[in-house]
Amino acid sequence: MQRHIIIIGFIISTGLISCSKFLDRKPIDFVSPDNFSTENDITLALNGNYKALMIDRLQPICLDFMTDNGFVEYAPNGEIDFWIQAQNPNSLCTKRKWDRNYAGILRANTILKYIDGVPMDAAKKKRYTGEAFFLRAYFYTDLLEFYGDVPYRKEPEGLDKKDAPRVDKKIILEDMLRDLDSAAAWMPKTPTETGRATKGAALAIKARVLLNNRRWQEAADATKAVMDLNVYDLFNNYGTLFMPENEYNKEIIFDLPYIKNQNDNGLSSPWYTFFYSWSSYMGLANLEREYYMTNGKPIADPTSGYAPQNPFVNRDPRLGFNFTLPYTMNGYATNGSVKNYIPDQSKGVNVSSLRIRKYVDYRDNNINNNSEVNVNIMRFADVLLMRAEALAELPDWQSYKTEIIGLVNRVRQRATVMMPKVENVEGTNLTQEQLRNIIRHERRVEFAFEGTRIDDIKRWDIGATAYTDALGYRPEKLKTAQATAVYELYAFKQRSFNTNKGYLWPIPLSEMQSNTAIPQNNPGY
Amino acid sequence: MKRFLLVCCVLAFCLDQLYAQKTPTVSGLIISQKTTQPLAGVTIAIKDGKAKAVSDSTGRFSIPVNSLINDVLIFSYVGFESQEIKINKRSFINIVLAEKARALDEVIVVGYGRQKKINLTGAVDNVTLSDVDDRVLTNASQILQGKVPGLTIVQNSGQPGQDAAQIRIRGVSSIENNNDPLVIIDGVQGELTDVNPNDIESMSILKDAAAASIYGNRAAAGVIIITTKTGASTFGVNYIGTVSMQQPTALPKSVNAATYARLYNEAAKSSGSTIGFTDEQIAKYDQGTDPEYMGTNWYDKYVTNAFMHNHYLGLKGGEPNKYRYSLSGGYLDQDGILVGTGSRKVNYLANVTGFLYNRKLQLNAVLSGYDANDRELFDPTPSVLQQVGNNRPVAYFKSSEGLYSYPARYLGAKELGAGITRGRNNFKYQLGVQVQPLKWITLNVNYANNTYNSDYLRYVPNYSTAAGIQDGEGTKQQSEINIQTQKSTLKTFNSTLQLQKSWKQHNFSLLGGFEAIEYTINSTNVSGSKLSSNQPVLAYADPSTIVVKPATIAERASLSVFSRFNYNYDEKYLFEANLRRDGSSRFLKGNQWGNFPSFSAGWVISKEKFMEGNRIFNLLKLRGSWGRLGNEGIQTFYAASDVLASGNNYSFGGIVVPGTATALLANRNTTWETTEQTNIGLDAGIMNRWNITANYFYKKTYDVLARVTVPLSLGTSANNPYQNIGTVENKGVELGIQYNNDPKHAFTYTVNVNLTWLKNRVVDLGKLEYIFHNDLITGYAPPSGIIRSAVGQPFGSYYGLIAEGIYQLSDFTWQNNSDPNIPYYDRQFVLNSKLPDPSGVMSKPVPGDIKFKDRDGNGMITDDDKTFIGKSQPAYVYSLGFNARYKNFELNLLAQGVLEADSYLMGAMVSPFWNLSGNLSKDMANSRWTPENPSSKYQRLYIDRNRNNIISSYYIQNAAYLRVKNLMLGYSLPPKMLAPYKIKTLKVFATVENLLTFSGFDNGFDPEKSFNRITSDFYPQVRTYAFGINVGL
Repeated sequence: MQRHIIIIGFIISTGLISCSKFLDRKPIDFVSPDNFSTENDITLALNGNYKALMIDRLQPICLDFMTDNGFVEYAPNGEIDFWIQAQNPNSLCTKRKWDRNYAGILRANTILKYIDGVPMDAAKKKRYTGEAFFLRAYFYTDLLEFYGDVPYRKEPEGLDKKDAPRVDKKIILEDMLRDLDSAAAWMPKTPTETGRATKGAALAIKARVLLNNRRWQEAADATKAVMDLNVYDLFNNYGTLFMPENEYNKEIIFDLPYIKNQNDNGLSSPWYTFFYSWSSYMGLANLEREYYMTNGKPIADPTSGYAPQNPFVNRDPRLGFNFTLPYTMNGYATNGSVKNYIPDQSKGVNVSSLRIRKYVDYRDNNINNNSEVNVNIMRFADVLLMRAEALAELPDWQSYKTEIIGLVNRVRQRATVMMPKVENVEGTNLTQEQLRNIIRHERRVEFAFEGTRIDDIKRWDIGATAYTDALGYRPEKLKTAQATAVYELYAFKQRSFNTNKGYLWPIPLSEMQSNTAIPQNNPGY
Repeated sequence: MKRFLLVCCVLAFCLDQLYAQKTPTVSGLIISQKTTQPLAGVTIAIKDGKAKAVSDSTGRFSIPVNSLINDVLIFSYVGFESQEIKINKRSFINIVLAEKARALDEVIVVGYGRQKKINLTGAVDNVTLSDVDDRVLTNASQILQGKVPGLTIVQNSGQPGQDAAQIRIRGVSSIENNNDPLVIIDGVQGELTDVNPNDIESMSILKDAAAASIYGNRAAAGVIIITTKTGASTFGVNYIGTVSMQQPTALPKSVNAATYARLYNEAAKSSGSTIGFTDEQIAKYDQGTDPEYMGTNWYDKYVTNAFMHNHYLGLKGGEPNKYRYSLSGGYLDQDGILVGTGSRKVNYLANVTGFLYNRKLQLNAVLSGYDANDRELFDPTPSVLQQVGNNRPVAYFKSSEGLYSYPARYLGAKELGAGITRGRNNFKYQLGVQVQPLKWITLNVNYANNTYNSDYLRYVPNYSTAAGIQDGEGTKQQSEINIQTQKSTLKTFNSTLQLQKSWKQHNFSLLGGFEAIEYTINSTNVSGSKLSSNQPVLAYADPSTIVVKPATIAERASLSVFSRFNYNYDEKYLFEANLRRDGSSRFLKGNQWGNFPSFSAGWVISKEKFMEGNRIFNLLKLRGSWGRLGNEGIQTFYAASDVLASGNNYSFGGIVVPGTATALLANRNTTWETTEQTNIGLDAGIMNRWNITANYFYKKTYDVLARVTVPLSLGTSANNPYQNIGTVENKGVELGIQYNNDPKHAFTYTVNVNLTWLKNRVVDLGKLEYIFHNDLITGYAPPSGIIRSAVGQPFGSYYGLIAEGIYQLSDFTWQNNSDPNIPYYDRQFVLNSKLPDPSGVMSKPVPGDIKFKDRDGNGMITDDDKTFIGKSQPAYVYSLGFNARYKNFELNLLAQGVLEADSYLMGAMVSPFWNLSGNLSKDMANSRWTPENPSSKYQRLYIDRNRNNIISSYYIQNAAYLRVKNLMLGYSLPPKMLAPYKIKTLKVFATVENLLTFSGFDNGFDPEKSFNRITSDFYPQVRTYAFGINVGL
């Protein structure tokens, strides 16, 4: 008996020892990129590459809240650091942007490296490659715009390549412009599915990059290429341009395709919550005061008819489409009746009395983080105004004068906007400087809260005049009775442009600490 | 076996005596001091007489005596101090027998076996468990605090169900990996949470490599071996019950609404902001009659005293040489001091052993487990606590219509059933066979299956919060449900063969063994929202919102062979060698197998001839050891593969499409960490009263694995792969002193003093100068880079600027040549140009700001001026235990503390208006810098997120403390009184945990916290007042 037990025990023991495969364990719940074998592996990786656009759902809109368009103090994302010009390598926003862009770059690089080894339909392979090129270029050019010279990783790199030096912006830029050309060549004019990048997206992003780099002629050419596609036009209704029912209208070139009920997937927009429910992101009077009277005159013009105590009447209609102004509609009550915005009573952190209306779908009905409103990356109006700006900066700008005025008029005279034509207010005998200011004004009022202002300030080098104190109307003077409302303009937060730091952002602290090939951050940090 | 034969003989003898009863007899009851249980088999003899008796299974005895007046009874029992009692005309005598203090023949549980303590050559501590039944311990890990030198134990939290203490044996040797000791319960790996403290029979701590190397690559952080109670040859029932009231040990005190509003204005003015409260509003807060302006003390709303009750019922019995069994169950019902938190736990254990073939074959089965259910408010507790600290006292609690405000939403939603519940469940079955064909051969074969299940449910119903004081309709909040389940199974098979033989004074023992372990984990995570009905059912969620989130399915395995060789000569010269060879599936071939040897020797000096007749040392022993241990406990199972994470979904054409992305980079060279440890020890017993154990150790860990921050530009976001990069050393001295007075006295007492000195240093980090521990930092969004391990510094040091006091008015100039007539808040302060310029870290310095040291002297305060501002691990850990007994009264006192420890504390209630809106503590309000009351120690109030986040020594606090951990007063009712009710013993006791704490720490927070809790949102520890009874039948 006992002997048997001993023998059995040892048989079990030795049996297990000989089982050498016991220690051979492979991952179960994931594959590694070097195991890509099917088209589906690439498809999923490309979907994941697009996802990088939404890793940080605050992009690009949050950028307006570092400028003179908006203000947010009580948000954990830290836009306020940038607003007061106190940004530093530890600031969350700089880490988030860097992080998002490089995550997108790695994902694109992974596709570009492994797609050739996977058997798939040739046409599809070409299109996928084009999309990956587009995405990589989008992320890299965003980096170049905000950080200048950055580490240049052309394929997926591992621990052995962790230390990567900053590469001259110009070198990366040339490569990316080339990639955008390839992307434009390989992607279709109209997308196979809504939400995918197209030829037009690649060309329009190329135009934006060239414009930001003051390569005017090339930028003008790129915008022309977009217009010549004959796919895009302005959408009639400025106020509902971004509403879900008008998704993918003819003006939209590329946007972030948010859908309802997908907050857990990171696929529903948070802006309804921030703009409406919390109202933590506020608009500034600095922007509000830029909107002209309907007669096309700025409010500072004594002949404009502007009434300081009734400030929002007879203004450019885009003012009311971008802002929720005091005593105007502010959503619905449960019984369906319309609520009005009364600054003195308003919930949230109400400092300027100017709430934001753009991107807010009141039908979201108090449910947070559930909006399906797409966030714009590029629309046709931008192409038109980019072309106007590029042409106006050319040495022979005068020969394009009529076209430039026509481009601006096209944006001004959208059916629902119908602001007076340039020639009817500003005249035709315009200097280059006047023309420039007309275009700049138009950009500002047209693209409010779309995240483009920060690039504009940099391109025009107007930091000293743009980064000034926050202006708003005292909420406590705007009480329930509209008749007794007093519009008192006040500066509620001080700041001035930090010329030491300039326009470039700091490279995030963790990159500086871990990438030993970067000895120096940007000036001022 | 001998013991059982003895018991049988004794029983027979007893019966014999019973029938022979004619002469006067004395009867009585014998109880063990330690267990308060009756003692069977105690020999009772009459001094200078013939008669002998033995106590029966109920601890009762009866003995014929010659004289009721003069006879003296001698009570003796193996392992206990003998007692002589004069009968003194009594016919019924109660005896409490005290265990011999660290008796020489004490047997200690070691890895895969038992050894006589006298023969040990490694550093092994046997934990005193005598006070466990008299305390309110909610987790077995809490037993160890203050009990064993060399252990640093931090009780991190008082949150029910989440209150396991963090245990570090001989310091921290792994930078980012497992530093928790290996826990072996009844021979197989488990967790301390698995056992009910009342079920523990013995607890051994293997501290050095000699003792632990038999556990190879799991043992680098030390080993805790627990054996649970087995049966007995006598039937017995034991019930222990306590009811307790808990309150926080420390809680910040908030200012009231009016003060907050005033100080907010003060801070706004000095921060260049005009946003604030009007005089009218402040006046209303002062009046406190307008419902909108009543103000709220959020701590009062969210924190409360909490009730707890705890029950334990144990049963044991058996028949000698046939079987023995032990059955027990425990029930713990604990409410948390944070409203909405709580836990209920049922523990059970069944241990049955059968003996066959005259005990040559033993079959053993153990079933054990627990079923726990923890509850929280609907966000994770640290997040809730952060918000409680951040909620402004000016906010209203409910609207006039009775709707809860947003800051009060947790309480409002709770009424509708919102919350997080976490079901935790463990079940272990274990089967063992022991064969002893010859006296010197023992074969053991064991199989155990240990399964853990957890069910997490987070449920937020449809509810509304008031958006204004007059808002009866409110803002709808999204209903949500999230269900996570996880199952993990640890299967262990091991077999050992032990040969034991002696020739004359030469004693040999050889152990050989084999072990295979397989671990699998499988989890799912599903969430949905927009529930159609307020029920926590996933099916009620809007189908389009249901998302299956990435979850883990993984497995690992290890194979091991091991052996131990012991030799001693006459129990005087001792030698031991261990070797374990381990293979782990976590690493690639080539890095997979490793050898873990150890050697140790001892010399029992007191057994030498020249010590004979000495009256001082009853024991004097010198020990020395060296060995190697491993740590394979990294958090990933497949370190050599790039991890392509799913769940990176996007949407095309309006529908969700699945996506993947590289989330973690591979490191194919990963292998385990290796620790080499040398130990020199001394054990001394002096005059049978003193027991002293001293150890010096030196521990060096190399190939330390760390998730070194890789550049974000690699594209894997915040996920960092493991790399074997470093070397860490720990050295220390441990001293344990025990004194007990003569147990024959009516007043007996024992004093224990433990002292540990620990020094930790990072020796090397490959090519790096330091690494950050951002991964380890817990809490709400603290800035990165506060904790770093740097070469030449202790593990996890705090790193930041040095605060050199506070800027005063005299450090500044302002308009018109510092015109004093300019109102204070209109002044444009310019810092004296001789002072270093702090604008690199802090914009626009003004009086009352913290002044930082310009370490590099370049006239600018920048990140380059940062340095080490505090060390997170205490240098000294000490404790004092005092147990006294007088007649039927008992008193236990346990105090413990640390010295030379720093703690970084930031966040709400520590830094003003945290994240621009946080609350203010009364301390902050009273001590703040103002122009009228310029403090040289405390900063001004400001509203500036940037200033909140400047890391400096201003926020370093001295975390040294001394804590009265437990105080217990007990009274045992006289057995004579109980006898008519068939109760053997009954003790009533009152006990307090965490009674008093002496510390210079911020009085709103507990100084005992883990070094990585740097924000103020941790769950306070609790002070527990309890009343209990302990009954033996």
